[in-house]
Amino acid sequence: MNGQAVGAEDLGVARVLVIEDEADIRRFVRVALESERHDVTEAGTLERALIEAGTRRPDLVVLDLGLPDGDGVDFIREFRSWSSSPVLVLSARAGEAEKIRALDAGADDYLVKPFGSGELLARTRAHLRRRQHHTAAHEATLDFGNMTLDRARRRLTRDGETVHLTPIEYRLLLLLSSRPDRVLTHRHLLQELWGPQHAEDLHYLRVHMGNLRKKIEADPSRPRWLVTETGVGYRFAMGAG
Amino acid sequence: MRVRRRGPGCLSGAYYSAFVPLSSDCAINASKPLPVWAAYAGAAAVCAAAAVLATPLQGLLDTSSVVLVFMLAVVVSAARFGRGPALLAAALSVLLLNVFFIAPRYSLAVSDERFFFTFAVMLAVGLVVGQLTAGLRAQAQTAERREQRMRSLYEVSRELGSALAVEQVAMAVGRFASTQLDAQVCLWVVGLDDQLQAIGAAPSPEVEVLAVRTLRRGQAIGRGAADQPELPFALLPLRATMAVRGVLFVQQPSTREAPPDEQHLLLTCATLLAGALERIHYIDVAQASALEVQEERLRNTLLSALSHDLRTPLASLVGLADSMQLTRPALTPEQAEIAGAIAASARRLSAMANNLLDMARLQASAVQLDLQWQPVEEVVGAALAVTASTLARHRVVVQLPGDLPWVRFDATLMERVLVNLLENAAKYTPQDSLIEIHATAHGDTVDLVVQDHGPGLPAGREEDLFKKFERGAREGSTPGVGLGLALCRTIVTAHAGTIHAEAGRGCGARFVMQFPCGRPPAVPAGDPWQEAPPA
Repeated sequence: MNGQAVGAEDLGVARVLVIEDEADIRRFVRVALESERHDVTEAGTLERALIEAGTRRPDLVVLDLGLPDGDGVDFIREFRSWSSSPVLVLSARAGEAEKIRALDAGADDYLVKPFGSGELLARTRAHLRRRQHHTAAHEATLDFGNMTLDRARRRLTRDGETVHLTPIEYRLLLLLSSRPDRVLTHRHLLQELWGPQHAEDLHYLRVHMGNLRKKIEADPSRPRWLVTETGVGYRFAMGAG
Repeated sequence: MRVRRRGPGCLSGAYYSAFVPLSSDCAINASKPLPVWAAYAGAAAVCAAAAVLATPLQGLLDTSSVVLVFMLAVVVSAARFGRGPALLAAALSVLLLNVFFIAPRYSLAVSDERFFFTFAVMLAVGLVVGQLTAGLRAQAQTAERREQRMRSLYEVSRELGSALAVEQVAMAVGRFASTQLDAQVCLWVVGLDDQLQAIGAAPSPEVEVLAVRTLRRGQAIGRGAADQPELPFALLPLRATMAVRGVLFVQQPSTREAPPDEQHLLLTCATLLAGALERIHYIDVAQASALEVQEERLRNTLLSALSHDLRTPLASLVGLADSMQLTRPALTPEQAEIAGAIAASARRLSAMANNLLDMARLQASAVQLDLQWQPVEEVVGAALAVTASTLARHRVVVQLPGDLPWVRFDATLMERVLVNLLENAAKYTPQDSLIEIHATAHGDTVDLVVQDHGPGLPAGREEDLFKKFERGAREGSTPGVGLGLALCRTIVTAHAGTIHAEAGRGCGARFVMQFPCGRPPAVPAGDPWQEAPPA
């Protein structure tokens, strides 16, 4: 709710497309985003959304999955075929399967209804920042907290001291940190790390995630960086910082 | 195990027909056996007829031909009347021959002693032929009876094969038992609820108790069985391929002597019966599950419609109230406060709706839990992240031992449990007070404890908290419908765990969850990338 204060961090004016069939939710999302001087376009249907996306070329899409004339996931697929702008999904609670489907189709993040403007702005800010520092995934080093991930030398240091990671922990960290603030589904991570034949072996992932947290997090039961998205996946939380 | 009874009326027919007493004579209605005296009289009559027939021929035929006529009479008697009458016929033939055809006539005296030899041979041949003929006749009768049994067995199997209800099965078996075995039968069937159910009226409560025992042990009881053979009846377990499907009660008149093949017949019938009951059982199962799927679908549709209709306006309300703070010109402090209060109320309402809907979803149907082995640490972390803003004014301490075993649970639901407990703790305890989360392993269980240091729980009412719509402080001003803890219990119970509340050590409330820990799947010990570093 300290929107204005943080809004001072200049992320520039972004074109945001809000796709939502509920007029009231569209309205407050618009109010919140416009408070940060973003240029907001609204769409209430899938058809309209595709037209607006094509003409406006948004920097960020806020999308409700349940649209009257179709499935929001179809929009994501279509949009992803030509744009890499972040897509933030608005989802109903208890809709894990739906969230996973949207994320696997190319969405970056989700917000569970009901959400306040503070939560919305924190997320949009994080994703827009990523757009600005577009090179995050390609930079040789990534600083987070008192740690530095040196991708060229394949090592992680804390205050200059090397933190020993096993190769798979390193790869897991690399994978998550190369897409900061994006939710990566269990399935996606498992496929990247172990291959498609282990896409269901979630306990592999949990074991290594637990070990990685022990090495990185100050308090592994309250992770600051490697955040659990229950029932969905994990997120490397840069934006909240 | 209880024995339930199906409603009367519909089955009385089956039971009645099973109990219609039919004499065993009816079993062989093709050749009705005569009363004993009639058979002997018949044999005598045949012999007399032979004598009458032979008399006019006396002049034409010699004595040996007359003997042959009597031999014919013996064979006819044996074939028609059986063993005893054949014996009589043989003796009578000798007597009649002697008296009417051998000089001196009309006396038992014999002039020529050679005739004694004739009589002896005649008697012997008569006896042998009589025996053989009677034996053949008995065999023919047995074969006929057997054939008839086979036919009725075939018939009953056909009936059982086409039966779609247990009542039809009971009827067919009742008919078969009464006509073929001269027996009264009663049938119990294992229903979908695994309870034994009497089809029709059971003979007596004591027999029902025995029937339940038969089912439990899967062993026959009573006559002809190893267990309690002194009983006047038998209880047979109806064992089909997959399970014992019922129990058959069989009572035959105690005076009746059972042919040796009867037991076999009974067992064959029981096997057929079991097969039919199993088939019907699976028909019922299929129908029930089809119905369940339908109901489930309807319920889910209803719930998700309700959920959407409830949550959407609440989400709008939360967002709109919240974004009032961002409108220009900026709100006065008073207005901002009101907007904040509206947003907070809307959030509470939304949380309540969530609990209500979750409860409805969990209770309405057998929810499919997405059970996965996972560390407790992860779900605790997730729950703390969700409640971060709620708990902003409390100190939270987490103590989880590093070697805590993994537990198998549905992460989403377990997060709900922890979020509810933490929100409760935040709601009912003063600011800046301590909330602790700790876990310990005890043998094959893991205890997860959420403890606060607030005013504690009403003494003696700890269990009531888990009932729906209960709260600690009855008239309290702290908002919230007491559905949260009921939901927690529903979820924890679905995980084969327990949850209870206690007054905390020192002060505050303490919620203890206990989960069974099993054997988590093995994770390959070696790091697959250890040997081959990433390219």
